[in-house]
Amino acid sequence: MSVRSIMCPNCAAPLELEATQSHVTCPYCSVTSELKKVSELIEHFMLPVVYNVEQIRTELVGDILKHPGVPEDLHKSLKVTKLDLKFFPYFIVTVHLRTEYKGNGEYATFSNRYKSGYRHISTHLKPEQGIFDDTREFIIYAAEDVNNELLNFEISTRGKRYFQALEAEKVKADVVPSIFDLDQAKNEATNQMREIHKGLMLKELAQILEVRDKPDVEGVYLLHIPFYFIEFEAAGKKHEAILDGATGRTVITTVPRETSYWVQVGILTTLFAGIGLAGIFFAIQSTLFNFQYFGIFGAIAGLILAGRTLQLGLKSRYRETQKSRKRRS
Amino acid sequence: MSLVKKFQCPHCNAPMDVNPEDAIFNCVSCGQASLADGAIFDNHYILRNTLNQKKIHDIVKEFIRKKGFMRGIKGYKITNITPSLMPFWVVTTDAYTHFVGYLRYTETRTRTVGSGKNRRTVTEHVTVYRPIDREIREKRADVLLGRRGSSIFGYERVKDIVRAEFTNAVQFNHDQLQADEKEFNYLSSEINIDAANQLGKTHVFDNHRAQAEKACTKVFDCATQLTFEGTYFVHAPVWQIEYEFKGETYRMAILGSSGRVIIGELPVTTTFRIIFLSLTVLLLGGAGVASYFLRHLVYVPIIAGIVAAVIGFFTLKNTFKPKSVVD
Repeated sequence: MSVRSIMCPNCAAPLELEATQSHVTCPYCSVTSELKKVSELIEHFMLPVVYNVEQIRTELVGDILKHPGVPEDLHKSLKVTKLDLKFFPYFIVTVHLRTEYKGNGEYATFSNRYKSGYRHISTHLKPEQGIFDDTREFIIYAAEDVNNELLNFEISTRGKRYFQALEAEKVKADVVPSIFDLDQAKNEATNQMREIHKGLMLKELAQILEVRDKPDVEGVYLLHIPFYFIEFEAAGKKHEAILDGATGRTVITTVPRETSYWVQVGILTTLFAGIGLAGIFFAIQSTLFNFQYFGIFGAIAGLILAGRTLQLGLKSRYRETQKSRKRRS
Repeated sequence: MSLVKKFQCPHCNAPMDVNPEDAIFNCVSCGQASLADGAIFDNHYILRNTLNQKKIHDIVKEFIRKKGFMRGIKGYKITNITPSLMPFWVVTTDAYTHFVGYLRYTETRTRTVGSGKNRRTVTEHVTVYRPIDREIREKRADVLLGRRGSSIFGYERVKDIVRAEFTNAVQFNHDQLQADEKEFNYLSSEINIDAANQLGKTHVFDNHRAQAEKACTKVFDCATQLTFEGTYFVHAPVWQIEYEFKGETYRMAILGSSGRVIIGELPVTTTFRIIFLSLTVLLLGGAGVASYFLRHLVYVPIIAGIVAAVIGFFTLKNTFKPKSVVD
């Protein structure tokens, strides 16, 4: 990377900066300067690798140990067989979009009064127009190979710094290149925004006749986040995990279990399923034993609980945070 | 010809060290807040912290005693306490929405048909459409985190709490901060005031449309208008805590102004698992006994079975889950 020098505008001290750097803080007078000629450059950040290999292993073991039926000596017995550290690219884009639309919207006429409503409805179309004007933030995963876990991971951007290739080299990490350049990232976010507006339009209109929109990207930056890709052996089996190297959170891991755990889940499932099957038997043969409808409860509860036990007991993946849990305020 | 723009405090002209993450700066000399374009910004408030390390220990203890009473958590250890001043934007608006649509529902009605010997009651279901034409008019305060693309532990909850406690905020005072909240990790906002207003507006739109969709089976029209009534930049003290139990780490977040627990993780101990598993089995047994004694009534076994299945659905979840998240 080429290096440029400038003079601090406050105290005239000589400052050196890299070609992609847009801000510099003078070490003598601590004035920060912004270089105006680099406006076309992407603001490019990285999150530092806060957790080293040993610490990330402790985090992983800690998360696994919270599960029932895992080997208790995991802090000692878990053997990391392969470990890669990779920086993955995400674009964070804020988009403002104003959409003017024209089309035909629905309205209804009601007839045949019944209590507080009507028995009949007939819908008609009428010309309708309107405007959507809003701003949203998009996080765009920009690596070539699609990893659903990283795609859905709720990233944290705290503590980011300007990207320095040297820092990644220092921790022997690969930097996964972004498949998007600045314009493509902006387009990608704008398209996602258009999809949202299209969805809103389809709620307002039955037929869309004319759409005019004016996108405006209000901010964009590229962020590289370090992830550990770990293969490990525990309880005699091979497992895989991905952990966030900046926050130590577990993106995903498979959970190693002891044989006794599978036995317990098996017994419990058999118990519930047994009650369920016995229930069905009694319900069908009710006249034979004079049990009448006794068995129905078992048929319902037993089978459902057996299914639930299997579903929960066999769940072998664990994710610490997930995106979808958004509550609208 | 100047290619370089330097950052200076608009109030006292002191040079400023600007962090790439910030959209609002506080001068280290005079404490004046300013925006990236150099304008002075006065709507800066803070929820004053009232907690200290000792009180944090008490709150954690109380939380574990109250929420974790069946778990047998003894000998936990607090390993990490990080106080931060989190930046929030509070966008206050006067919002008005008019929506039109209809609600479809079914009513059951019974009527008697025939006469004499053939007289009987029939139950039938009637589909009814009710036109909806309604207004939402409210003064809102929407809270958003002043950081881009980021989320903090307990984010959704902390927004609600900040909204509720916002009236207790006082004008931000830099000297006082230096004196009282020195240990705090200070985070500034990455989102500027215009973006905050825009994002706040989107919030109101989405919220009102969601309300309209909840009230209607089909919404024909939904239009929102709003006026901004002031946008405030509020710093809230959030204590992030990690504690260790049996070698595993759990997290908690506490709001420093009122001491409310925003969100906390609790260990699921073997005792806890056994309690819930026993509950499931007992419930199934109880349903069996009830069904046995009332076996001539068909609905008793059906209801008992459904109740046992529904409750068991949740008790079994508690048996298998790795940890609890409580607020």
